[in-house]
Amino acid sequence: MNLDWSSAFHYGLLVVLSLVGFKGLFSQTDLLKKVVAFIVFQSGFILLLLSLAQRTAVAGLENHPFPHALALAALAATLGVVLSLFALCSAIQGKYETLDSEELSKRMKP
Amino acid sequence: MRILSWGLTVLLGVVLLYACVQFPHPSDPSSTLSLHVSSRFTESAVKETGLAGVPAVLGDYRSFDLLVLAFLFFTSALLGLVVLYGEKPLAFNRPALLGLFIALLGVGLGLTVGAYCFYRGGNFLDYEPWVLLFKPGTARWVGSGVLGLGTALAFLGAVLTYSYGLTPASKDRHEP
Repeated sequence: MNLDWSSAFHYGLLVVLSLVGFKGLFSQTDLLKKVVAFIVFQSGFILLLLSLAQRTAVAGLENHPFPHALALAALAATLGVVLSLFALCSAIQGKYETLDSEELSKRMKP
Repeated sequence: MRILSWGLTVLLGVVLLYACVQFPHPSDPSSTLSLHVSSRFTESAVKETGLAGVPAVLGDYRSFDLLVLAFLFFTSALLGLVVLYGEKPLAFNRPALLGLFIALLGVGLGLTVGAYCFYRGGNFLDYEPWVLLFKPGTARWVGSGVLGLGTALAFLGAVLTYSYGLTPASKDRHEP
């Protein structure tokens, strides 16, 4: 297998961005911060798709349209999910007056 | 939990970096990415679909993806509305019913355009059969216009229903 380390570095930066979001999903106790971490996580993948489409260095070639289309689809799906999550957070805040997951688990106990 | 989160993050990082090592370089014209479907999309899109670039991919080659995506988006919007206003009673007043009717009309119009293209043509929303009804030069624009009208009606109807039927601020509702 031919290892292309320049590609690994190029894409690796975006992978690190995704991993920051992924870690935040687990480590944050505030639900709103978890949603923000999810946005960061998804942003890394969308940027990864967009970076796959770039061909500007090669003269006379257009960018790949397919990764762009996939990135647009991922962006719209993320937006839909995030809207739902924000609505859920709003409903939880209205009912329990907190978004801290540990505090919520205490208040939800009968 | 903390150890598990670090473990999962490191595992995902290793898997993704392993995948990234095998990705083609973005500027490599001989990579699979450049030679597979992208070459067809860039070279034949205008001839096959009448569009170029991303609109050709989203509107024709991968139009079912777009349809499923729209379904997902509107489902999540509906979920958001239900979560926010689900416990409040629906007010079936005239503006809300009118909005519901307009929204259904718009959705039906869009789906009819797509289904007609799929039934008489080769793909969902490819507007190929519209040349039977309109001049070839204007068929795509007319088809897109009807789809746009359907989308605008669906949006307008949803806003009407949301404004008058799903909020407690409805003026037409008669409290007992």
